[in-house]
Amino acid sequence: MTRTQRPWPAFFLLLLSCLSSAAAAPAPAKAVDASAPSCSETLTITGLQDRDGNDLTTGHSNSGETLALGQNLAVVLDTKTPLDPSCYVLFLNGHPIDDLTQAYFDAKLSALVYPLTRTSKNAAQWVAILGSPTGLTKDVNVALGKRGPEGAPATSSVAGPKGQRPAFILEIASPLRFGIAAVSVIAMLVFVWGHAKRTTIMKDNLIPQIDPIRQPYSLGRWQMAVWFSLIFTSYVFLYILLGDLNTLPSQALILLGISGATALAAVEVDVYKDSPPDAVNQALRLLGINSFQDVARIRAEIADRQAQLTNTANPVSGASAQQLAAEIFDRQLKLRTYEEQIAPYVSEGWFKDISTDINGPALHRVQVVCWTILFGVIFIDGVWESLAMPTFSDTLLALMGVSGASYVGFKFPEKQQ
Amino acid sequence: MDIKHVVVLMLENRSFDCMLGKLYPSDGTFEGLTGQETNDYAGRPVPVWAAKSINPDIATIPDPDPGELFTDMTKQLFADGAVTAPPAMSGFAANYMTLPKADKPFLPNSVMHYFTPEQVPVISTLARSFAVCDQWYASAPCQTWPNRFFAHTGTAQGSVNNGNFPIPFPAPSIFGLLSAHNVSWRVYFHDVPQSLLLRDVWLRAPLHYRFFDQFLVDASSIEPRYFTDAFLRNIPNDEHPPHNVLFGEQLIARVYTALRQSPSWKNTLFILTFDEHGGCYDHMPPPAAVPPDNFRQDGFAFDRYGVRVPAVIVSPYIPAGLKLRAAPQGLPQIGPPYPFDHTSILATVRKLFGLGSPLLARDAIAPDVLSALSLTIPCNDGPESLSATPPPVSTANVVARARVAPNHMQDGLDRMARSLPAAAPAAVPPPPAAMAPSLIQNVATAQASATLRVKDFLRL
Repeated sequence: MTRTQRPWPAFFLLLLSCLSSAAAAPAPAKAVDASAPSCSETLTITGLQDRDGNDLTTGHSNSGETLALGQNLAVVLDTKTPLDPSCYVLFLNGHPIDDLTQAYFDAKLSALVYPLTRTSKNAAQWVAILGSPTGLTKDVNVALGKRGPEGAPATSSVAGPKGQRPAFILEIASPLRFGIAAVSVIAMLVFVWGHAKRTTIMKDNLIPQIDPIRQPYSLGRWQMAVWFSLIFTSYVFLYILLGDLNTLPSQALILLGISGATALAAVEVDVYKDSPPDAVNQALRLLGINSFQDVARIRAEIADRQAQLTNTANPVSGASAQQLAAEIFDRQLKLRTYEEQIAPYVSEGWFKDISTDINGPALHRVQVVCWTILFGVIFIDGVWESLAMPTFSDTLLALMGVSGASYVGFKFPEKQQ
Repeated sequence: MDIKHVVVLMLENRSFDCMLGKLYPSDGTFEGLTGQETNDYAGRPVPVWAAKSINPDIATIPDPDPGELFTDMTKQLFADGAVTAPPAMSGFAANYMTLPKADKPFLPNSVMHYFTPEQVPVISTLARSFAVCDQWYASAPCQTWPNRFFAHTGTAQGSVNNGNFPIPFPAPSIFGLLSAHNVSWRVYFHDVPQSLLLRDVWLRAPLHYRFFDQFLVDASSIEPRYFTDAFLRNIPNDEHPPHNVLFGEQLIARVYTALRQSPSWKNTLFILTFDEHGGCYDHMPPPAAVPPDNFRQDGFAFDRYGVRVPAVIVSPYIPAGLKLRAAPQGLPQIGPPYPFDHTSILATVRKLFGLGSPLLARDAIAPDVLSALSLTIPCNDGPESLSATPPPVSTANVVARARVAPNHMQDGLDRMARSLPAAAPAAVPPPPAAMAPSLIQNVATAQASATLRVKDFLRL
């Protein structure tokens, strides 16, 4: 798998987002010292504060404060001499964070203040800090590095006393946003997957007379549900982590498109092909069974007549009893016909439904299942580790398309069996 | 002649002229159509005719189904003439036009239509490769059930139409006779076997009745598919108008090919015929017949044969191109010699397997077909196989066929099925009783319930 550059529209929107967050940040305080800022060689970090001067350093008496992306980190230094922020690079957990162009020296705090902004230039560097999250917060140690001459990469040379790196707690996601996101994702999952067994949301429904709970699962719809769920969850996950609304790459839309087109084409084949399920549906209608409600009605009619026959308070006898018995028998035959005819089309479990046809395991189905699961795992891993939806190569997207097309192609003879 | 297997396939409701009238030129040796035959309707002659080619519209003529009640047949045979005179065969077109209005307009010439040999190649090929019988008449000018009962028992016990029979039908049948003589037999059927009405098969039915699919693996009597099966998209292959004859052709081809490729081919006699003419025109007047017993209905003593029906006799002992006749110079209107009829099957089987006395007076005088088996060695192998390709079946077509009300035959079979006990009796069958009344329903409903009841009864 290759990773390609984020397309320009997403980049543009991301830039806008960064600009807007920067605009929302407080204007940098004016330097109190009129003298030119220096690039001191020997500095020591004495603490970490927010822009209001609250101590952020973990282990200190007033620790517990957190800092989130978009807020300012003040790296307090042992100097009153104004420093040129462009001489220094902020290191978080040993990883340089470039492009913090709004950094300034706050003489009052004796600190270099870094707005923790995520831009297109430093997005990859933030991945090392924010990626693979295991909680809502994360301890992050801080160091500074002096830039080398003529843009040479900096090394972390400024740390705390005795070379120790002070740390603060980075809030990866606020509990409120995380809660909203969790509710959104759970609601989606419940709606799509929670009702998958009891409704026809992920089922063929080719024979509407079958109880929704017994309808067979549809491979096309399942695949579409997988990609929709993955992309939706990933989008929400990335939004709460990064505050970025533009994390949806165009390839995610292609994945949704392939799965949607596969499901749609499969439905078209089912609807328009002169298939055995269609014959069963039409034949059941001729028996007066147009929907599952009619099956329930017939069952109720049988129960009603049986109750009349066994009613000791008002006994039925003679011709009336024979008539009732005949009506019961006729309805029972109708239900038997119904059960016999729908038997080949009733669900045999999710995996068997989507991976087999009437002849058993079907390669064209199994390959769609395998590719979908494999790509799904890669997708999740990519989002977790890289904080971006993976962009699959054209070849892999073509592979998904070919496997979907093969499935639809094989559905034609499959529907005739 | 070493015949060990007799296979009978009886299709539905086509006259001899309709299916085989042009098999050979009509001359002294073959009583086919000359093309000059007509019936009058509204003062104008309606001639016999054939289409130049076959398609689903042609293959389902006549549509709607002509009248086939005893009263209809009397009109078809005698028009307005006296029923005591030799039938003029002049009332087919006029009787057809007395049908109630249908969904689509219909013409009097529908019943005057016939198929050319090229349009029904399977039956024509068999007829030319083996023997065609142009003197085989339905046993009575009655509906399906009476004629099928003649084939099974030699009598209809006085019933001229379908559905008026007691169930089970009490007359002793050829099947009972075969069992009594320890001769094995089977009935292969598609949906609802009419012969299941017979009282003396009830005890043995689960042992002897099998679905047609099994015929191909363990090859006797075959019953075609009478109903449209909307679930499996199966079209009837009984050739009953307006069912497409090409599905019947396919059934004949399958039966013949299975027999021809069977190790038992050299010992097999295959009789293909139709139960009755079903309102389709035939120009040969049926002669007077010997009543099988003393039963009568509507003044009819079963003393006249029904309209001529196709009959093809197949065996490697039959010389190709044989025209089998009971009276080579033509039949008298009052016998003897008597023509072939469905009781000829009984006579043939009885003679072949030494089953003793005739069942009744009709089959006692019926000619058997064994005279056709004149080769000393079974050397006429005929075509190695036959095939027919009916038109593709669409769900819409099947649904249209299954939505209509059952025809008389289907309604009768449905009533029979609803009258069957839940399972075949293990001891003495119950006495005959009235059949269940008709239900107003469609073919699909009748087929579904009747098939299930038959499966229960036969424990299949």
